[in-house]
Amino acid sequence: MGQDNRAQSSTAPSAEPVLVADAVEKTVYMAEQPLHILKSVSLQVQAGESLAIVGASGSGKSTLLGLLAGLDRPSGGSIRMLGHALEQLSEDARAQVRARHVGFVFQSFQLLPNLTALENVMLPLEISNAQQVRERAADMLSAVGLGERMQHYPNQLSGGEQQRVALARAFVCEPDILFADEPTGNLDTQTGARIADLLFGLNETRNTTLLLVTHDHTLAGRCARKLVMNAGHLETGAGGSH
Amino acid sequence: MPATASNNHWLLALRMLRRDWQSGHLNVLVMALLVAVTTHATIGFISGRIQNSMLVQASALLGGDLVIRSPVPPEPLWFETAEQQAVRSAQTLEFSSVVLAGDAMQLAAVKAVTDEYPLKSPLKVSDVLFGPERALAHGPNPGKVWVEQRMLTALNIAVGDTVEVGDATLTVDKVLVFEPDRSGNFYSFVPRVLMHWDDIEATSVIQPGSRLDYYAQFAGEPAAIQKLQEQISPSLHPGQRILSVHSQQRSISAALQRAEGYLQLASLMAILLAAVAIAMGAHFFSRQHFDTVALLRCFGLSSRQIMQLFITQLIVLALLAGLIGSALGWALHFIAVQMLGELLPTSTPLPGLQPLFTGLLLALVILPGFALPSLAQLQRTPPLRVLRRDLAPPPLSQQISYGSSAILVALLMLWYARDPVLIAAIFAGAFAGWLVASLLTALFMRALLVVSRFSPLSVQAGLRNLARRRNGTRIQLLGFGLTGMAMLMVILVRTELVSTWQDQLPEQAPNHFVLNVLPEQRSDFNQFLQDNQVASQPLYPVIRGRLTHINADAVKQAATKENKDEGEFDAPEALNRELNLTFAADLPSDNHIVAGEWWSSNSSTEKQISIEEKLAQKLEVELGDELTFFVANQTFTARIASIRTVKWESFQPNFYVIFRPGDLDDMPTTYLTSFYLSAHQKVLLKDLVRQFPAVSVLEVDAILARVKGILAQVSAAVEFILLFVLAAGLTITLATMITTMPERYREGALMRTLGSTSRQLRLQQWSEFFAIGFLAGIVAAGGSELARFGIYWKIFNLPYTPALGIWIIMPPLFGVLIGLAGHWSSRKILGQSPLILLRES
Repeated sequence: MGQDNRAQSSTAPSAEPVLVADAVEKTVYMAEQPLHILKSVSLQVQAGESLAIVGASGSGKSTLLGLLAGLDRPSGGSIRMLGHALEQLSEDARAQVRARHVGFVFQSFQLLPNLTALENVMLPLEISNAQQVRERAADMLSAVGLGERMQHYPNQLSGGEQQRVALARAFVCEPDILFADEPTGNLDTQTGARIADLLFGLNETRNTTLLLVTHDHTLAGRCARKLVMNAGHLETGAGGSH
Repeated sequence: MPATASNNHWLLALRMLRRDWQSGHLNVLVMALLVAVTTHATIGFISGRIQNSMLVQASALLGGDLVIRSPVPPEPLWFETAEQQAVRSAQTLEFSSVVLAGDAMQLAAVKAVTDEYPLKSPLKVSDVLFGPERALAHGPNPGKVWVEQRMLTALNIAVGDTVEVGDATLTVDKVLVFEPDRSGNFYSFVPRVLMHWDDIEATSVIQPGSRLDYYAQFAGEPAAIQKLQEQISPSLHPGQRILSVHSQQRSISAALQRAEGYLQLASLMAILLAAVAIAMGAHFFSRQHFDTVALLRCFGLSSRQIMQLFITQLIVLALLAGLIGSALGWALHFIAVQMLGELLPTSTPLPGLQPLFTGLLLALVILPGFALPSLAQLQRTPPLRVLRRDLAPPPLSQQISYGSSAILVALLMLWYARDPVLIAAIFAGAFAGWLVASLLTALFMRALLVVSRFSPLSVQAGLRNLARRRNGTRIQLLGFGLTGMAMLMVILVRTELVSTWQDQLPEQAPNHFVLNVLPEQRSDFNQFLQDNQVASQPLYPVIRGRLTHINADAVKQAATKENKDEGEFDAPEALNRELNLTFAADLPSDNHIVAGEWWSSNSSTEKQISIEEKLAQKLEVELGDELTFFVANQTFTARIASIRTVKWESFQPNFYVIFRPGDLDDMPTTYLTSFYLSAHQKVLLKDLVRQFPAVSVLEVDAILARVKGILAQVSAAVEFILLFVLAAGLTITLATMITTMPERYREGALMRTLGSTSRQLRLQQWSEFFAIGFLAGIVAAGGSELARFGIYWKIFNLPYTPALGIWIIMPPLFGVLIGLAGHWSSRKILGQSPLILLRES
């Protein structure tokens, strides 16, 4: 299945890149000593493409994801997402860009514990003042196989079920780009594999651009392209086509 | 999309509020707010009700809801205006006159009344001397007089005989036992004669230069009375005075003022409690929402939209809690009225609805006000938190959060009390509490290292927890400490007020005054009391005299000063009538010297006096000034040697002016005393009067009972409100305790997973909570002592005595209290599987 995905995805990209990072740097200061987390990282992502960034813990891959998604600002370089220069935008302006174009899946699911599965999926639709919120959220939950568990709270769901809710929440707004941070990192192999199937299946049917960060090479292998982070530098992955 | 989102933010806010409510995230905030508003509204309604009831009783003592005293006949226009506004009115005229019966004569305080008199509570009369009493809601008919018992004995006449008042001959119809609106001293020398208004002319007493006191009395609805007073006030002559409930009845006004002060204090404490709870609840609320906000920002909401979202939620929450709390307060006040029973008759006029609106306003101000600093922090949650959970918004500047809360509390208190001194005292106390809390946390961290070395491991762990969460510990210390301070103040002040009132009128307070005991009868009189086992006050010598000059200025000039003054103090006896002078070797026990010294036996040859403080202020005299008196055709001068306070409310014989023994020798002297007679001892009075015909007996049972009733009512109200504030304090302590729980759940679960036994965990919890409570007890004691010092000094006019006991009692007591509350709140840690707890947290 991974092979099929890769084959299809590699034909999908169009000419215009949706995401361009140019010489991106991130430096933080720990006890007044600079710590260079990202060192001149550049990459391009085409619309509809699926890209995996792999690397060991502490290699800077999650930091890069945060920057590419507009959750943080780089210390240097530029990031363009669908024509927006993210590094020049304020946090609120970046929030607008995220609201229009971006979906997220996190390693720790990030479901709100006081909302039911259905309400968690409804939340981004409600924020964007969408129509038929309940119906769309319910359809999406059914699509991830949780039609029977809509009224359950996160702590009543297993890890795999929680991540399915998170997938439903990410796809329900039909984002242009989906950022996934270790989406199977908190799950056992079998459950992880099922979640990955679901993620790539949804990605394929909705033609979303997928940017995935993981240390799991099997999962990364299911993406059309793979980049490797190492100590803040980006290297071309083994199966990649950079 | 964000534009539409902002249009939609109302709906989204409501949805989030509903979900937060369902999940229990709002419990603490709602509880704190509800307790605050309910306490505020209940106290508001009860004090409204009590004030109404006290006004009803006090206006009975005054003779009307509005009374104007005038040396000339009142304007007929006043009565017409009153009638137009459906206000009832009556007129009385008081003057002194010698009453004759055959050859006997007696100076009498005559009072002529119109048909409408009395407007408030009825007169009490009996048909024969010392016969059974009955209440009558009218005065004597024309041609008749009702006289006091001492008039009958003085003139040696009986009911049915006639007396001459001026040129009129009137028939004694009844014995006057109680006159609700008799003002002035209870033991005024001159007995009362009550006659009809229409007989005034026949007496021919109204001559140019006669001293007359007209009283226009009005009774009606408060609004109409208020309007009438506004209409009448501008037309008053300099000599005409509006008498208010507060100015007239010295025995009650002090109690009334203190009770009002207490209610105000209790309300302020409720506000302080609420402020603490809401600030802590909001802090908790905001910490619980870091993840939500990070996610919302990740989804694309701007910080402004997030602020709008939460503020909308808070406003809706405040409206709901304000409405429900006020309604609860209305309901609870009925329960309180039931509990107070006869003390606060259910027939008392219902209180105004003002607390409903102020309750709502309070909720609307207090919740957003105290939650805003926390929300401001919340909106700065970095969206990157979705990837890195350790990222939290930058902590609030303490100056900003404490400062803005303090300013808000100050404004709220000012709105409530409009009494800067009271507020300054409470603030000083709270500031002291803050200092103590900061100092204790700083010291505690050091002491901890030493102490924990000698304690069991679990205790060490508990104490180290406190040291580790240094900031949280300080906030909790301040929170619990202020709660304790509020509760402590309400308890201490209540205890002192109630005991002051009980001391003021003990069970057997004198209910009879005996005047005119002749010098040669003294030993017989004492023997009579002793034989009948009546305990009495000593016999005080009384010499009647008139003040004529102050430092060689004639008193007439001084008297004009009095007219200018609209103050509460009323001393016509001192300036215009005869004064009761006395001499004494010892200072009366309830008097206190405020200036000068009480005399020692042979200090000087010139005459010396001790003068009452307020009379001294009125006359504008100081130590060393000379007063000249006219007594029994002699004029003599005495120098002021001391100024003293007098407890007029004590129902003991008291004097404006006391001479040194020996300085009034050879003056015509009689004696007076007071004693308590129970109902079945009353028959003694007949024997007393028979054996000592010259004496006058003044019964003050009815006034005493009324004053006691009011004091009991005030005490009961104060106790009820105390209970209410305590309950609120405890609820809020528990609620704030819950805010510290999530972190404790996680730690407890971890400890259990790592193999801690229940006993170890319990010991750890107890040592941690007990330590916090113990320290908070010290904070509370320090804060309340400082605040109490200021309040007693300025508001209650009570001497401040440091309550040393609370320093010993409070820390361990509060330690156990917080320990129990903490144990109860964290019972889940011991009762549930650590797995579930870890998962939930």
